[in-house]
Amino acid sequence: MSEYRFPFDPPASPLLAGLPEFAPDPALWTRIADARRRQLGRRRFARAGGSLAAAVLFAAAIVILPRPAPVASDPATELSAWLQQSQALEQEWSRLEPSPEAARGLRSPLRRIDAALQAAYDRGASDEELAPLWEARSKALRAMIDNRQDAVVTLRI
Amino acid sequence: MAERPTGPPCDEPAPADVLGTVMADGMRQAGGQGFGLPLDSITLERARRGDMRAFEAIYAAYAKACYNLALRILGEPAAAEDIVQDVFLKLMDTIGGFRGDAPFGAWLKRMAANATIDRLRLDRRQGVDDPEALFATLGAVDPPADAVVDAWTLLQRLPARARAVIVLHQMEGYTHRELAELFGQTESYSKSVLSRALQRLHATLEEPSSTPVGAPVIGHV
Repeated sequence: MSEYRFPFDPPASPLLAGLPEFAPDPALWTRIADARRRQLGRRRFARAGGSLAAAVLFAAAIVILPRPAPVASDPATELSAWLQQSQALEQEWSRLEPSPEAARGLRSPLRRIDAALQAAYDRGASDEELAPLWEARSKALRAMIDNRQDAVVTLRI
Repeated sequence: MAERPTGPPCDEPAPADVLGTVMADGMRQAGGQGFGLPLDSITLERARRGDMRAFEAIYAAYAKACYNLALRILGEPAAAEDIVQDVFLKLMDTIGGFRGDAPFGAWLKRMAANATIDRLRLDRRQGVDDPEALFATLGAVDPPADAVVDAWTLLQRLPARARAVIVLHQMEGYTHRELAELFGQTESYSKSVLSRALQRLHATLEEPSSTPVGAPVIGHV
């Protein structure tokens, strides 16, 4: 590229070597500096205007726009949480229950819930229907565990 | 005919304070001249930070080179001053992107050349793609009636595009490939325009009534 070369050799034509050099108007720098100041001033004004407009819009958005409704919990997530809790409680219950025979009697509240769950799965129920059933199952298990722990404590006393 | 510049002539050798490296305090050390003048790193850094005194030092060092490049091609002092203003305003915005992998003067020269050629493009009369057509509008080679011939006058008798090719190739070191890119033409176009332009200049010189060229006969006051 030409920018890497500075041809200080005389031009091929002697005519061009004799070209005079002229100086620009001495006031040109002042005009350029003034133009620069105006340019920067316009940009600062535009930036300030932009910032102000953004601030006004933001404030208006806060005041005018309706607040977002509480986000409804995702049925799938809710179902998964109750299912995991139910499984954890089931393991806890199995550690407390000494004999299968006694467990069968104590688990009778769960049977109705399990039947309802099975029927729901059989008909292809949605997560929204399943989640309350798993919630009920977890609560039933929690009650059974609490009762069992109380009974053990009573017997020990 | 293009307007003759009214600014002070600078035919004499450049004064000592015009030569050398542009220093941070605006002074210069021995070095090159015109676009070949190196720029010291402190001034460059200050300019990158938007220091107007640094820009003023850069202007003092390179404005004349920019002005003469534009003036020789455009032929009008007012247009050349517009180019210098545009180039320096653009420089102030873009100097942050100057990586320093090319000499600063060369970078500035390219900006000045591009701005000048862009100005030429605005004039549709100068957008002639055929070198023959470019010179067709010129009359036969004849010396001026007053027999006052100088380099400036002869150059300004050429079409603006031809002047651009001559100035950029012969004085600023552009290659034909670069000129072809600049004009959006082929290299052969650039070569053809240059050849015809030089032929034209030398034909004028060979006219017996022409006065010797090299120094302006009329003082540029």
